[in-house]
Amino acid sequence: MAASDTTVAAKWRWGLLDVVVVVFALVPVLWIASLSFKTTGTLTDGNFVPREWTLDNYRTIFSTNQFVRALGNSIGIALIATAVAVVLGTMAAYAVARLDFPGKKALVGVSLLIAMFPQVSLVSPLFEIERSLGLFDTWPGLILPYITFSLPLAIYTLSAFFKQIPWDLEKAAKMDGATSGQAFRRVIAPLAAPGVFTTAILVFIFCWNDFLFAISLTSTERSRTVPVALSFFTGESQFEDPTGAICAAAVVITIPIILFVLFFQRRIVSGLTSGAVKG
Amino acid sequence: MARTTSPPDPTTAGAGGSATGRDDPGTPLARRADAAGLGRARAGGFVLPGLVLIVLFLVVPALWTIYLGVTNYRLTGLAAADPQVVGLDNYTAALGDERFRSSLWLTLQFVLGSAVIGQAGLGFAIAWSLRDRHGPVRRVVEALVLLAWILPSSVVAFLWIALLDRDAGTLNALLGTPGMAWLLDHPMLSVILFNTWRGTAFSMMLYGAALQNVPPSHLETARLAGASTWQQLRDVVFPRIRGHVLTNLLLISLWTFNDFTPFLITAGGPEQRSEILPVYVFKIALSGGELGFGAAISFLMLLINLVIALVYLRTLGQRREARR
Repeated sequence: MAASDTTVAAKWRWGLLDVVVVVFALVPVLWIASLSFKTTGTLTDGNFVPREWTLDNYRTIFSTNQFVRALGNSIGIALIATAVAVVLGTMAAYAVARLDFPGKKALVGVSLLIAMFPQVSLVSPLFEIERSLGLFDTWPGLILPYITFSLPLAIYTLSAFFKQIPWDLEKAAKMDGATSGQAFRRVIAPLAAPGVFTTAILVFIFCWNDFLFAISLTSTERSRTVPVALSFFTGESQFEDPTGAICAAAVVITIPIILFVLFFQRRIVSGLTSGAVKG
Repeated sequence: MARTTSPPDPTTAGAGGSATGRDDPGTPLARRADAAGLGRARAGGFVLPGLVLIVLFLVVPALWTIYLGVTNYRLTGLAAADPQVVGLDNYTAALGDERFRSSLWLTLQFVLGSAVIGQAGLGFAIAWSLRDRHGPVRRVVEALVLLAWILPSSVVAFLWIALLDRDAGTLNALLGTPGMAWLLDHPMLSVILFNTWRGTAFSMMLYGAALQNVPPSHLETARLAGASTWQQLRDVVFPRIRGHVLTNLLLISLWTFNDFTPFLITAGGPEQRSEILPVYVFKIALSGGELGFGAAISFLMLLINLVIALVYLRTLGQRREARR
């Protein structure tokens, strides 16, 4: 039939587009991975597959304090910021979803407005504030702004999840003699766990990837995170090309993100689109 | 989609905010007011810690930015010790500054080219091509596009520098154009392509979810009636996903407008030919130390953000009115 012929042709055309997209998305990533396994001599040979495989680049970065400290900072800062942001966000989102208090709409509106504020414009006042509070170039100096910047998104996503949970559950819990706190902890929190988890992934990714705050609010290895350390990379000596080492470091910080995508793809997609789609 | 029975409310129309503050219309008012039996005080306690942090690290810096914008505060020099309030001088200086105006123009190109055309267009094309596919193909395409979106920005910047490099770049090897200096000759095109690559995921996911609202039977009917793909899109699909299209455009425009990542690729150069506004502010305020002037430009950026948001929201509001 003519009609089915055209759909087959259309399917092929769209399939071709998908292939192009895959190549488009994959080539730069594979290129970096391949560079990270090349020896210094063959770095610029333009070959897609390394001629001589080596782990030297990885050995180099893990033997420098510069990278190891930065990796520790990145992991610590991102984990703490995520944990605190999720706890505070869950509490606030629960109240926003369950209770009409005066100024609630204003609160939600204002936090969305602030979330729209260009990050770069808050950098200089934050720099000033942190210098006067002694927070500049410390872990809390990065953790606190990360929490604050992820809270509006966390509250927003989480309150969408809470709204799906029927309130009769809390009433039933209270009927059985639970206090509000118990009802929240024992009944609601477990039900909201998938939403909390999704939010945690998103917040973690934000903290892990941030460059702008990390470069503006730190000055030494004490609290510098990997994305920033990458840009300060030089080879073992000044005259050595750092490309291989940078690639290896890039692969190392990319691994957790790739794992997140592989295991939690559906959750990330649903978490990101839930608010916008339910509208 | 929009529930037209609820009273018009400006705040619920916030960025995708249509999910917030819309209560179940079937719920009696008394129950709705305090369903969990929290009580005002305890609810306050729930919100307070988050609120304190938001005030300290978002609201205070935001107000500070507005204050700095009317001073001549600098990081070094005389004005560092004793900043003076200079009124609107920074704003008049900015508006008269050639560099600011060209930066604004570049930013508009960046938003239109990479967000509105690139990300939204490509995102829709992918979502449409994947709409009735399930299984590995869909998962792989989605995962890769998603990956490009959430990789650390310093990593992707480095990927693109390696890709576009003059001597050893992958692109030159692929296209057979050795010695083509993409970042020097076409800096804006490079960052626009880069941002399209990076940001398509969100549009794809949102449109993917939106297309599930379109009943396949309607498309089938249209196809049997002889409608071309373009006609199907225009008459069957688009009217159903209008709200999603606008929400998506709003969010990606704002994100792109405020995006700092191109700094890592071109640093605004060569000769400020890719210096979009966030990069300009960063250079003025943090590299140049002119905090006052930088803050004034930040505030102008916020105003432009608001204008973008208002234009989209008004369009969305008109659509809702029209469908009543």
